[in-house]
Amino acid sequence: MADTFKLTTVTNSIKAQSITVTDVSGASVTLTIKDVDNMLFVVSQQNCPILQPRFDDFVIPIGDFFTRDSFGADASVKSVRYTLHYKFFFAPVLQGEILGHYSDSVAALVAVLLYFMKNTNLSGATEFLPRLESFQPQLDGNNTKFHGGQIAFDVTQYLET
Amino acid sequence: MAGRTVGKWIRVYINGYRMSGYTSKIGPLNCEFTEQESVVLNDVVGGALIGQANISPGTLNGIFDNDAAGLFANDRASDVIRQMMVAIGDRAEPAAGVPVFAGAFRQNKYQAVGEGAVAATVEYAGWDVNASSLLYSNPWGYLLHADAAETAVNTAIGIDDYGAATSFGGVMAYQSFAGNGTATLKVQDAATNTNPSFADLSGATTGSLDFSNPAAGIVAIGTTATVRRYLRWQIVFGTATTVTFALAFLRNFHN
Repeated sequence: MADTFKLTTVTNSIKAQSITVTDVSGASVTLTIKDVDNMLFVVSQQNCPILQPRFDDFVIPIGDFFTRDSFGADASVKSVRYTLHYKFFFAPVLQGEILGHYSDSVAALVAVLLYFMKNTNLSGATEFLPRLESFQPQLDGNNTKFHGGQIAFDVTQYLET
Repeated sequence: MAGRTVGKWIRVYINGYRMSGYTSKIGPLNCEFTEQESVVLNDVVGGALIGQANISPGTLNGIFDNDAAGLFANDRASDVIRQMMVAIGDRAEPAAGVPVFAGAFRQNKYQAVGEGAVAATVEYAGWDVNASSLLYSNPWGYLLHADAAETAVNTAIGIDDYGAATSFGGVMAYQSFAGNGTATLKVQDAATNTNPSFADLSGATTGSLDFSNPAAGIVAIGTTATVRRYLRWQIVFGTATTVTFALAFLRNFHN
């Protein structure tokens, strides 16, 4: 059987999800989800809310990353386990505003987490589970501060699938 | 089944109730032969007594709940027989052709445990000593009909679970989750996998049952019965117009 590593299939699958959240104006909008090939270095208020891969340490191995699960040398069945890290930008933290949209940001991030908890059958992943990394302001590439947090996805893939 | 799978695709059915939503783990799904005493290295019995298998689903680790269709409401009583089916989906919801562990098992214990979140632990012993399937030592088979509603008879082709006919009988296991009257569930077999070739497998039938409420059971056919290569589900409607059920057949390989 042919082994394939489907990391980009998983990131494509995450990007393809349609998640409704309430934005900073109180309107229901579809969350913008970015893939590794179209991430935004600089995030603006118009882009929000947005979920995109974290530049630093986007992929972190779990355990030995690749594991051989059976006898059979190169033909054995193998698995790969890793964590994908995403940043959630809800809205810019405005001048003089500390807590104004904090609760809205928390509610939106919870909605995103809840969606992924209920939709774990993503293409490219044998096992997929979301995890909250942090509820705290996030910085974009220009060090602009946004309400938001970080979500991680623990992924297991059987390489023969 | 094409390859490996993960636990989230296991489905547990007990007495016509879907218990997967209340189950975090079940197993080991055990079929173990007792070792013969005083066996020497060149003894032809090979350390096992054929037909004396210890078969048990093991322990169900579940969620303590109070739903009408949940584990506590339906399985809190112990020292009773449970009709069980564990279908193992192939990286997807179980479909026809996936492996199934099924049988009638005595429940030994229901235990609510935990100081934080309260969990439920349910332990099972071996085969029901009163079961008609006691002559069989194989709890493993294949799913012929996945959990879904049917409103018409089956004219589709079946599955090839073994690649050849056998002559040691087998056990039909069924779990009916909903319905609106009487019907008969059956297993049919055929030598060639075409609709007109299928005929009722003698004895593998529930008989006419009222499926208005959850129902489950096992039906063993004779241990010398020929079971042809291809298998499929069948339904004959009585007063019912719809029945939601899962059906499996556990082919036997020796007496």
